Amino acid sequence: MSIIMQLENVSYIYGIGSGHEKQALKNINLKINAGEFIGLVGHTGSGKSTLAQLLNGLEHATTGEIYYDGRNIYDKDYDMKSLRGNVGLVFQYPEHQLFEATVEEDVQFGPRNLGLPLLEVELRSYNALKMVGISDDLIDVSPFVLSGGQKRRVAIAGVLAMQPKLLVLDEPMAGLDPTGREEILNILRNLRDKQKITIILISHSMEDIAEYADRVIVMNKGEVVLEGEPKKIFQFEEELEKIGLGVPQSTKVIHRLRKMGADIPYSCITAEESAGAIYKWLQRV
Amino acid sequence: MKPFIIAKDLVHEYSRRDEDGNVTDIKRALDGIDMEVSAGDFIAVLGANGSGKSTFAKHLNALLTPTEGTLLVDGMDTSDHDNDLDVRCVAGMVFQNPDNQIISNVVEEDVGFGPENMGVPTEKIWERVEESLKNVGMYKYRKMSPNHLSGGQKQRVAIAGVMAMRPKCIILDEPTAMLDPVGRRAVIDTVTELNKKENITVILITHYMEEVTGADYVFVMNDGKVSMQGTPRQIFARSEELKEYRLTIPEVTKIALHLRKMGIELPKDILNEEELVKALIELKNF
Amino acid sequence: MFIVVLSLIELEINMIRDITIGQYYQTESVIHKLDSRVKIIATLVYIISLFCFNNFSGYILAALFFLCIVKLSKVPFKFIVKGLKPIMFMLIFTAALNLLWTPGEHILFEAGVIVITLEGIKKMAFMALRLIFLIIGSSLMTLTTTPNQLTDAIEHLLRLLNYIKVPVHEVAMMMSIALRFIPILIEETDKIMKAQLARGADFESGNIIHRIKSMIPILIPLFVSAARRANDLALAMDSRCYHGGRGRTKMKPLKYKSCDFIAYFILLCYIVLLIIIRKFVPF
Repeated sequence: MSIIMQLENVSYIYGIGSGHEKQALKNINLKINAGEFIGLVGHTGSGKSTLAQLLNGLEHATTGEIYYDGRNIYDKDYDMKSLRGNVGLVFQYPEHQLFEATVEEDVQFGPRNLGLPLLEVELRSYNALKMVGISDDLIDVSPFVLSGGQKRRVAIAGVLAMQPKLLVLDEPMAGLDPTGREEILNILRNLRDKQKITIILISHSMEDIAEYADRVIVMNKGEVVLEGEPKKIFQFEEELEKIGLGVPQSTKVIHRLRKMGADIPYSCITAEESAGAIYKWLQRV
Repeated sequence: MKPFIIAKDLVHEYSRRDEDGNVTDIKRALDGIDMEVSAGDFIAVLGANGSGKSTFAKHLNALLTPTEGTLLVDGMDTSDHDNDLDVRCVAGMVFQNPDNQIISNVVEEDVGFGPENMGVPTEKIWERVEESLKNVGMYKYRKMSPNHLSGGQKQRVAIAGVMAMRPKCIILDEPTAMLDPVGRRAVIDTVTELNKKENITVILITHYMEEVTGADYVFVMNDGKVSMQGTPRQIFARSEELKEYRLTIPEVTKIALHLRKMGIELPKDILNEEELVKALIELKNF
Repeated sequence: MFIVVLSLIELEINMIRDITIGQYYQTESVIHKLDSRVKIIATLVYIISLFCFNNFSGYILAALFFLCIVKLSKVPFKFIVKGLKPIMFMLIFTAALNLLWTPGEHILFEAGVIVITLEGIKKMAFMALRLIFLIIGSSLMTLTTTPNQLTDAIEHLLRLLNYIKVPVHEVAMMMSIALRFIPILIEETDKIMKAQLARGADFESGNIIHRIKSMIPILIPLFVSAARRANDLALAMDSRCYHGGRGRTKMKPLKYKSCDFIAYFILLCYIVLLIIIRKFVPF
C-alpha cells in the first residue's frame, strides 16, 4: 500500500505575536495510506479541524513537514493549487458556501478554477453529481431551492468535481436525519470502493465510525492519543470517555456483559457483529 | 383536567407568490395534525428533515398561525393575534442555532431579555435571571460574552432565557442538531431535570433516537401528518415503519432486533443498555 | 467603486482586530463604575475642548486631565496607545500636509515648492495633538464602557428625539445587535473564504475586474447567511415577547449615583479652566 500523505512532527500555533497564542496541534506524526477510510475523532477544540486545513495547505504548519505523494508541500516550488485539487476538503455545513445560479454551475466552480477545458469541466461536474445521487432534473435548478440533504450533497459534489485523490470531510452528516446520514456515509463508502478515493471522515458518531472506518485516529488537546483499527480503539472505553468521547452503544453492551463474566470477544463494534457474538455466547452451554 | 395543548385538524400552507402577488405554488407543510399534550409531560416529536415538525413547533409559539383547524395552548387560541404575547409567555421556545437566538453581548443580560419585554420590574428580573441561570448550571458564566461559550453552553443560556419568562412549557426545536455529544448530553439532561423538578411541560423536537428514550410520549411526523404515536417502547418496536419515515432505532434496540431474528426470545421494546444486558443475563442463566 | 468598498471591508476587518475603539477592558475602577451617560458627555466635552484650545498650555491641561483619568481607570497605558496604531498613517499624512503647505511669515526652510514656516510647525503640532487626544480619549471611553451600556446611554440621551418620531429605541437595539454579530460574521467570512479557496478559488491574482468577480463566491454566501441569521434572530426575539420599546422594563436601568455628580462637577471645573486658559494664558 502506498502512502498518500505523511505528517512529520507537525505543530501549529494560533495567533503568533498576538499575545494570546494557543497551541492547536502538538507534534503530530501520521501516515495516511492510499485507499484508506479513516475516522478522525476528538472533542470540540481537539485540533481535528485545524489538522484538516493543514492537509490541503489552507493553513501552514508552524513547524514540521507534510508530504503529499512523497513531495514536501512546503518546498518553495511546490504547486499549492494542484494540492488543493488533489486533497479535497469539505467543511462543516458545506451547503452554506453555495453561490451560483444553478446546481451545475456551482459544481463547476472547482474544476473551472483548475483551468480545465470546458468539456472536461462539464464532464467532471456531471459525474460528481451522479456520484452523490443528484438526479438530472435538479441540475438546472437553483441550489437554494433544494432540500437540506440535497444541498449538502451538491456541495460535496462541488469538491468531488475537482477529482481529489484524498477527501477530508468535517462532519458531513451534521443536522441530517438518520436516512440522510446513511446516504452520505454510503456515498463515501462508494467513493472509496469504486473511485479509490482515500477518505478522512471527521465525526462525533462512534457508531458510524465503527461501521465505516478502517482506522481511527483519536485526538485530544492537539495530540494524537490513540490510533488503530476501530476494534482495537474501542476497547479503551474509559480512556475515550475521559476525553469527552465514547464508544459505540454495541461496544458498551459487550463491555457490560464481559464485566458480568460473559465470555464474548472485545472485537464487536457494530450492532450486527454484537448480535452475532451474543448469539454464539447464548448458545454455548 | 383539560390538556395543555390541543391541536385539531391543524393545516398550514406555505404559498409562494410571483412578482404580481399571485399565488404560484402552495406547499402543505402541516396536513391535519391532531394532538393532545397534558401539562407536565415530556413529549418528543420525531421526524425526518422536511417532515413539518419545525413548522408545527412554530405554531405552538404563535410564530405561525394555522391555515385551517385550531390550536389551543393553555386554553388560548393561537389564531387570535391578541393572544400572541400570552401564548409566548406560557410556552417558550428554544431554536436550533445557538448563535442566532442570543441577543445580548453578556449572558445575564440575554437571560433578562424576555422578562424585560414582559415588563417585569427590575429587582424581579434579577431574581429570575439568577434563578434560571442556576437552574441550567450556567450561573458562573453570567458575566461572560456568549461568543466565548461552547455550543452546548449557549443552548443552556437560551433555555435559561426562556425559563426566566416563567413559562409552563418549553418547546425545543432540534436544540442539539448543531452540538457535539457532550453538549447534546448536557442540554438533554438540563431539559429532563426541568421537566422533573419544575414540572415544566417539554416538547422536544429531534431526530436523534437516543434523546427520545426518556420521553413520556412520542409523536412521529411524516409529510405533515402524525404518522405514529405512543410511548418510546411502542414506537421503537416498530422499526420497519420508522425506517419508512427516514428514521431509525437506537443501536441497542437494533442488537435486540437482530437477536430476535435469530430466534432469541427477547422483549420487543428494549431501549437502553441496562435493559438489554439484564434480559440477556436472565436468558443465559435460565 | 466596488473594489474600493471591498478593500475597505478588508481594511475594516484587519483594523477591527487591533483597534481599541469598541473594545472593552474588564477591570474594577471608579471610571468603569461611572454612569455611561457621564462618560459619553465627558468624552464629547473633552473632544470639543481640544478644538477650543489655541495655545500649548491648553494641551498641557488636556494631557494632565487625561492622564489623571487613565490612572483612575486602571487601564494599562500601552493598551490605550495601541488605539493610535491604525490611524498612524492618517496622522503622519495630515501632519505633513500642515507642515508643508501652511503659509506664514517666519520661513525656516525653503526648497522649491516646499516651504516650512514657524506657523506651519505650530499648526502641525496642534493638529497632531488634537487627533491623538481625540482618538485615545474616545478609546478610553469604550475601554471602560461595555457596548450595551453605551447603547443604553445613547438611547437615553437621545430620547427627546422620540417626540419627533425618531425610533431611538429601535436604533439602539440595532446597534447592540450589530455589535454582537460583528465577530460572528467576521468568523463566517473567514470560513467561507477558506471553503472557496479549498475549491481552487483565487482571490489574489488577476486584474481588477477579475478580482471583483473573484469576491462573488464569498459575498453571496455571506449575504445569504446574514439574511438567514437575521430571520432566525427576528423569530427568536418575537418568541421572547419582544414588541418594541413600549412597556419594556430594564434589567440594568441607568441611575445617577453620587460619584456621577462628582464626575460632572470635575468636568465643570475642567471647562472653567479651559475658559481661563483661553482668555488669560498667552502661550
